[in-house]
Amino acid sequence: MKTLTRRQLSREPGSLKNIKPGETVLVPDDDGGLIVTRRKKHRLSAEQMFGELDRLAPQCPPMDTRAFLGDDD
Amino acid sequence: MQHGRCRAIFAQYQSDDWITSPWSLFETVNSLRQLCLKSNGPKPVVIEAIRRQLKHWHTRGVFQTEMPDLQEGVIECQQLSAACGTQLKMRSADVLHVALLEQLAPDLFLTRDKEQHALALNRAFPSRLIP
Repeated sequence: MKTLTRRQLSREPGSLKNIKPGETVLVPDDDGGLIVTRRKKHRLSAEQMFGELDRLAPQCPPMDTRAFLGDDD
Repeated sequence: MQHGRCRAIFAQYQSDDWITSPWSLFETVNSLRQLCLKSNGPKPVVIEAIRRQLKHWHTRGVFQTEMPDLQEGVIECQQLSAACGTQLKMRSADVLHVALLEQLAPDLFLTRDKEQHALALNRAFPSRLIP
């Protein structure tokens, strides 16, 4: 478990905001401290995500996006 | 949307965390919107739906946004330009992508852009070019 001092927290309050899903950070003090946990995400599989995308854009024709956006010059 | 090779790469790394930044998200969504300008391109409403889906995938999917310091990124851009600007093709937007890697520190940088890939390798960032 990562530990963050109260001084670090007051100087960089964003460091608690940026903890990753499933990560826990302890901010110790005399009373035992504060434990902050970000819950783990339920992750969609690639197949589930492709399915969601296909439902959104079923009529989109295949296109050479790289050529159109000018990345091939 | 129909790109088989991108889907194959995505499936290969689906158990990993896919890091995005406000800059990469802007470029992605802006590029999608530009596709609407093509005569047989997608309708704007479809692109808006995909934008929302991408946002949703940051909650339920594998994506997570990091917030690099853009000012620090621009300083890194200047250093990259000084080091490689006379040897490699370096468009400003591409340079910013690579410059932000210094802060994001990904295990692997995935790109479809040959210039970004070349610049990332030049600066010793692990990079893979999606064909």
